[in-house]
Order: sequence, then structure tokens, then C-alpha cells
Amino acid sequence: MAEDLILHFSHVTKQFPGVTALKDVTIPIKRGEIHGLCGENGAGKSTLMKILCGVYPFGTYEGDVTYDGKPLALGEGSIHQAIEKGIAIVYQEMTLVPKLTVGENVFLGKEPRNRVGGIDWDKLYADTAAVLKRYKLPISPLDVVEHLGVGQMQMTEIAKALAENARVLILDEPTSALSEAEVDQLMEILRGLKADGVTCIYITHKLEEFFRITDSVSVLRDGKLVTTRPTAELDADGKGVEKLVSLMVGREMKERFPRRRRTPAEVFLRVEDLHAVDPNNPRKEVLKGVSFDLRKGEILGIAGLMGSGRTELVTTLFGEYGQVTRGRVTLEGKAITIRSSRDAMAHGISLVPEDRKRSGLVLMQTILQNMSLPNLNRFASFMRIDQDAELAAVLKYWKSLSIKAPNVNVAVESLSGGNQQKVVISKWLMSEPKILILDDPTRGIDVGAKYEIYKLMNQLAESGFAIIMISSELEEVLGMSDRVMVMWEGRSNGTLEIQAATEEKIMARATGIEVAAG
Amino acid sequence: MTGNEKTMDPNLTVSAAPAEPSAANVLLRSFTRNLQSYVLVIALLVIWIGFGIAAPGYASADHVRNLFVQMAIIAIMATGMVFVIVTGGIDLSVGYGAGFVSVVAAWMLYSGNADRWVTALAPGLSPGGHALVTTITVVVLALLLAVLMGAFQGFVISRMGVPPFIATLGGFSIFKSGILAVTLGKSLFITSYSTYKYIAQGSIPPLGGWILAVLVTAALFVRVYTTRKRKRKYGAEMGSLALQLARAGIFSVLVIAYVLIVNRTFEAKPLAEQAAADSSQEVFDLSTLGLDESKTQGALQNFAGGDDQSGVGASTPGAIKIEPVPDEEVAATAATAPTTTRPTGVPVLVLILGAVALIMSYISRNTRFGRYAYAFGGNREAARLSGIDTKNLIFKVYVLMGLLMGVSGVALAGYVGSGTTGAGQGYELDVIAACILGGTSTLGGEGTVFGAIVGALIIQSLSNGMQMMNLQPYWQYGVKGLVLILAVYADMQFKKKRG
Repeated sequence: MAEDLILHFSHVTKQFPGVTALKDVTIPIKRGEIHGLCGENGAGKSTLMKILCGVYPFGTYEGDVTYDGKPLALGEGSIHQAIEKGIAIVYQEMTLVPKLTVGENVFLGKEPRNRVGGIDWDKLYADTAAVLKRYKLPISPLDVVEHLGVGQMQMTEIAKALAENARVLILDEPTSALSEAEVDQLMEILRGLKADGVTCIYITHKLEEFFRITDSVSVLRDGKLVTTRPTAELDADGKGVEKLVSLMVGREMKERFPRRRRTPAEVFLRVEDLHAVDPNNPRKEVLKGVSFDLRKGEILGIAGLMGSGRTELVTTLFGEYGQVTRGRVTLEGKAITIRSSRDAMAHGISLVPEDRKRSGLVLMQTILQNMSLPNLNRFASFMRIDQDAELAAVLKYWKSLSIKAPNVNVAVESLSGGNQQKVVISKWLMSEPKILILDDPTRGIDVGAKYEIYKLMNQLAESGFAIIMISSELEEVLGMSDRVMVMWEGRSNGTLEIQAATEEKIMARATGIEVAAG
Repeated sequence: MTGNEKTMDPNLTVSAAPAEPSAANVLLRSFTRNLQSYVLVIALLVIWIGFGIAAPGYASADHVRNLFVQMAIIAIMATGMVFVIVTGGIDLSVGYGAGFVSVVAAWMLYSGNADRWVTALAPGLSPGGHALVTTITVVVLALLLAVLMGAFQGFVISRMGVPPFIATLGGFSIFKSGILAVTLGKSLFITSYSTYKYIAQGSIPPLGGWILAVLVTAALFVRVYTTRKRKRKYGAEMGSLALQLARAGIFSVLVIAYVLIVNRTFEAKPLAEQAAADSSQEVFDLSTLGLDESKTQGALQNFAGGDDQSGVGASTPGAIKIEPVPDEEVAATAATAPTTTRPTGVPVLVLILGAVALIMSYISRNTRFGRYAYAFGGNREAARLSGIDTKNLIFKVYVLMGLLMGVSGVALAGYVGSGTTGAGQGYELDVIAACILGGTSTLGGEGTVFGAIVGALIIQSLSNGMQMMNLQPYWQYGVKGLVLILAVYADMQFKKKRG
């Protein structure tokens, strides 16, 4: 073999009853490279990674996986075998124990022993410090995990993998919850790992990142490998992202954001000088003066860094988080108080929450049950639910949002991220709100589904909904909003008309370099 | 939610339309898909056949009749416990709770207070009318008490925020106190109130059983038709007609077989005796307990918390033992009911269980309350953000549990014929075990009323079988414990395979 391959997927096919998840996939991965894995949800990325870490053991798939020159034959329940062999995965969802220190987490389950069989704490912390130092991870072994930021938690996860002498590290959506600064830090760490000979497989929906960090990219579509190419070659003409998108979806995507011109109507909701405290800790002020207007028929983007109070603002408006201490909320000129989600819904406000799995969906229940949950009052008397009316209403949204599922009696946990998000949106649309708040609506979903959600948002705005959209991606905020309200440290730092808004201006306000008058 | 949706890999949302499969194929696939629910039924059949061969009398009409009566008290509470566990809670107090309700009901009759109240409020009733009004009064008051008990626990859990385990552990102790306070260590006999005891010991005439069987069969098949009609109307997947018909058919056959057995249709019997048996239904007699005469005494002791001979009280060790009732009353009734008479007809308690099961099953699927409970159990946060008043929901769940605890308590008093210090002891474990055997997930969000009832039936079938084989009690508890552990283990294995 000419190239030094650490890992080689060769003609891998994985079938599930009725469906082929992977079809004849061959991907060579060179030792010490950062290899991007790219594809829409359902393209087969996760299945491939599950084969690699032994979730689907050897024999349940066809084809071969060669690891370091030898066939990788992981047995049943072999996740530990994969780790022992040096293949580790850093999951999207954190798997740390919050109450323990970084050191305890890193050595969880493999604590060094002293002579009497107890834990050798000195060695544990010294070894942790060594790993952290070697890869320049800026955290202390004695930090308690629950006090760390998301980015630092992820570093702990990485340290945990490295402490097991991982030689192949799989990063699944590592940046979905990170701020820009933290992403930069992560990239730095990955370069360090690469210099140290660790091979990384990098999965993300933020396509720009492939061009920042990876050496080569493999694109999967519908379980088949589209191509494996050096990243530099893809980006030769500076249009790498567009090229990747078209490879992923199999067609040219001319525009990522379907921009529409709209003429927003009168002011619908006005928030003035809103202050609120954390209900669990009344001394902690989470909102320190937020003011903005929301007009009918517009999309108001809310930008801001992690911790700037974006999510706190919308959950407070929805009556489910902050205790309002000062300020006014007026709806169509009338002052309103919202103490619970029921109040909010009564006023026509709906919230598509940030984390759909944690707060948006009952995963084990069906599409139908999820969609009708907030709307049962419409179909039900005390004694009974009118199941015909319920089904009719659900089918209407199921069709108009083109949710991809065999029928509405499918558990939502079996849907892809994009379709799950559509279920959450349908559920709230069905409640016929006037104001729809979307908290990071396209987080973790693929390009095609994103585009559909954007189109839907435009349709809604045009039909007179007032929409608030929070987004971590500046491009998305700029691409979709009519106006952008920027948050900084719990307060609103000015609202920009879209024509005047640029990434630089938003960042200047989000970081407090520029402070709005008043 | 059936298993089939869950077997899908998260990545494989949209599958191509599968080729048209043969009917046999569909049946087979559907069978493997729903294996988990069939496993319960299969386990039950294995237990029945096994004991039917091994234990003399297990396959007799007497025992079949008895089995369903005995499981009813546990099963009624299990239908409420499903909601408690589905919402992520637990109720440890249901045993003594039902016990407390039973002794209060027994006290109202034993002390003559109920009599006096009715006489004071509605004087001049005929003796029959008086007995009926007294019984209704006692039942209503007992249920009211039970609802208040449930409301108390619901308040502590939902408003004061005390975890269910702790709150109901408190209730467990408090209700035990209540039992001791009411009985003062004595047994309160309900000897002269046959109307009250009819609730738990009576049967409906055989014709009633037949009408019932016809109605159930008709309802089952009509339901297949209406569900399919609705599905067709909205273009939803209809499933296999053969399978649905087979299911309705099997269930109908079971119901008809049960009615055949309890009506003793095939037992050769002189007509006169049959008539005597029918006419004696209204009158209390020991034999309506549904036991062979030789076993009757054991059952009584058992319900008083005595020997583990047979009966619901299989898990009530070491409580007091009551003496045979040397009461003139009993002697008199015994005389009117010759020992050759055996109880005939569908027991009233089984009818009550059927009604409870229907209502609870309906609530779980066709009301907001039911939907909210399952959604809350599946994801509290999502339920709260969907505008569900979660505190109110949890409160209602425990009130409902209280009501069902009351129904069981009322039945318990009628069945035992007295209020005793050991009443309800240990029932909570059987109730919880029934739910779990029936597939209710302790993590919340999953579980069915039907499953819980089958679970209760399994537990009762096991207990009775072991007792009839005269196994030592130390074996019996161990076997029940192992069966529970095995069932949960098997369930987890199934879930792992599907996930």
C-alpha cells in the first residue's frame, strides 16, 4: 500500500430490515490526518461511526474495516474493545459526571490504585495534568466539571479519550454548542493532536469548519460514498462550501438562504427595559434591561454570544424561566403578564425550544401524540378526545411541512433531526400562535432540511406571523432576519436594520465593543 | 405505539415502500414485532398448563372462578398504579391504604353507625331498602375517604414537592396507624350485612353472564371494524385484518370460555340444585367464596392475614389469625346454603374489575388527562413547555390512585367479611409487581392498563398454583421475586434488541 493508512473502510454495506443504511462504502483514512465526514442526516455517517466503535459488531455488516493494517473485528458489546484498541468517540451529548472533578472524570473507571487498593489520587491528578499539558488544554485537573463552560467540558471529554491513548478520535458535531472563541480554541487543540500523530474523524453540519481544519473530506449521500477528496482541492476556487452542499444534496444549491423582501406591518409586541432574575437564585440577574419591538410579518433575529441571555430572554417571555423584576411587555398596546407557558399560549405566543430532544419532544411517543400535545384542548372535552379531528389536524401539518415518515404513528425518536424539528414546529403552528419564537431552529440539522425550514419561516412571516429567531450562526441571522437585535451580557445592545447589518457590526455589539445609545 | 416503529434505526427515516408481503409473512412479522406483549400471554399459558398438570384442582371450575375474584383486588389498584408509575412516581401506601378503607367500611357496619345514620335520615324504609341504602352509604363514604387520602398524598407530592417515594412511605405508616386506631387490634365482622358482602362475594345469574359474553364479543369485532374505517378514511396504515380479527376472536373465545366455566354449563347437575344455587345468590353463604368447603376456612384465615393457604392475601405473613366465626348468623346462613351448592355465575367483583379496566384503559388513551400523563412521563420538560399544568396533573394521578384504592378497600372488606389489623398488608408490592410484569417502565412514559391486569393475573396464578401444590411459603415468596426479576430482565433484553 502506497499510503500509510490507519483506517480503511472497504466495501462496507450495512442493512437494516427494509433499508440499506450503507452501500459499498470505501473510505481510506491516512494516519495523522483530520478527515471530515459530511452528509445530510440519514446519509449514513452515524451508522459508519457506530461500526467503527463497535455498536454494530463485526458480522452484522458486510465488507471489511482495516485498522492499523489488521482487520478490525469487534465482538458483541465491544465498545470497550474499540476504546482499548485506541478508537474513541467524543459525543455530541456530554457523558461527564457533573459533580466530579476533571481528573476524576478523565480516569473514571480506570483509577490508578495505591498499595492498599485505594485510589492513588496523586498519580491520578499528576497523570491528568500531564495529558492536559501535553495537548495544551487550558483546564485544571481539580476543576469540578459542572462549573466549567461547554467548551471546557468538551476539552475534558477529549482529555478522557486521550488518556486512553486514543489514536483515532471521532468528533461528532463538536462545535454545535460552542461560541466562536471556543471553536477557535478547539481548532487549535485539534492541530496539536494532529502534530502528535492522532488521527481525527470530524463530523459537523457547519461546512465552513471542514475548510478550516480538515485535510480531506468524504461526502456520503443516501448511504453511498459520493467522493473522498483533499480539502484543498475542493476549495481551490474558494467556493468549497457551495461545492460540498451540491455534493451532499446531489443538486446545485444556488442560495442557502431564500431571501424575501417583506414589508412588516405595525408593532405587535413591545418589550421595554425587561429585567429578570434566575428563579432558582434570585440574586442572579439574567436579564438586565432588554427592549425591542416586534412587528407583524417580520423575522426579528436575535444575535449574541453564548451566555448573553438570548435563551433566557425568550424563555422568560414564554413564562417558563426568569422572574420579571422590572419592565413592561405590551401586546397590541395592552400590558400583559406571562407567568407560565399556558399564559403565553393564551396570548398567542409559542416557543420552539433550543434543545428539541430535551424540551421539545416526547421522543418515545408518536408524531401524532407530540403534535397534538399542546393542542388537545381544541379536540377534547373532559370526557374524550375527538380522535378524528385530531388526526385530521395532524395530517394537515404533516403534509404541509412534508415531514418524512411512513405515517404519523411513528415514534419521533426514529426521525432524523430535521424531521424532528419539523414536528416541533408543527406542534406549535397547530396552536395557531401570532408570535412564533424559534430558538436556534436549525441546530444540528442538515442543509436540505435547513433550507426547508427557512422557506417555511418566510411563508409564515408573509402570512402575518411575527417571528423571533435566535441563532448562533451569524450567516443565518443575516440571511433570514428583517432586523437583528443584538444581546450582550443580559441586555439588548441595539437593533439593526438588515440593510445596515454586517457580521462585523453584529460582533462589535455582541462583544460590547460598541454600545447602543440609551 | 407498537414495537415496529422503534426498530428503525435513527438514521433511516424514510424507507422505500417494501414489496407486497404474503399474509403468512405479515402474521409472522407482526408476531415477532409484538413478541413482548405475547410473551406475557405465553407466560400465563405456561403457568396455567404447568399447574393444571401439577396441582390437583388447579384446572377446576372452582379454581378458575376463584382466581379471577382473588386477582381483582390487586388488579383494580394496578390499573391506577400504571398512571402513577407512568408519570415517574410510585405509591407505596396502596396496601395499607386499601386496608384502612376496608376497616373503616367494616367499622361503619360493625359498630351499627351506618344503620343509625340511615335510620335517622331515611326512616321507614323496608328492610331490603334499608340494607341497600346502608350499603350505598358505606360505599360512598369509603370511596370519599379514599379520594381524600389520595388527595392528601397528591398534595404533598405535587404542591409541597416531596418525592413520591417518601410521601407515600409516610402514607404507608399513617394508614397503618389508621388501621390500628380503628380496629384497636380486634377484627370487625360484617356478619349481618349480606347486601354489602354481595359486592365482593356475589355473582350475577348465568343469563347475565351470557348477555355479557355476547356484548363483549360484539364490541371486540365492532371495534376492529371502526378502527379500520377511521384509518382508511385518513389513509393511515391499517395493519393486517387477519391478525386483528384473530386477536378479537381469541379474546372473545377466552371470555366465552370463562363464562362457560363459571356458569358451570357442562357440569351435570340436577335441575333442582341448579335452581337452589341461583336463588341462593342473594343470600350470603360461605360457599360463594368460590372455594371447596375444605378450603373455605383457609381462605378466610388468609384474608385475615393468617395462613397462606390461598387468596389475595398471599403476601401477608405473620398477621393475626381469626377463629372460625361461631356466630349464629353464620350458622343460619350456612343452613340456608347447603354445602353441596357451588357458586354459579360471573362474580360481581370480576364485573367491577372489568368496568374499572375499561374505564381506565379509556382514560389512558382517549382523554387529555391520559395523554398528558404519558407525555409527562416521557419528557417532563416538553410536557411543561407544552402548557400542561403538571402540578395539577400529578395531583389528579394520586387522587385517581386513591379512588381505586377505595374500590379495592371496599371490595376487600366485603370479601374478607371483616376489617382486620392485617388488612392490605403487602398488597402494594403485588400491585407494583403487576404493573412491572405488565410492561410498565419504571422510568416512566410507558405502560398499559391491560398489561397491568395480565400482570396481576400472572402473580395470582403463580401464588395459587404454588399454594395448591402445598409448597412451603418460603418457596412461594422466592419464586415470585425471581419471576419479577426475570420478567424485567427479559423486558430489558427485548428493548436492547429493538434499540
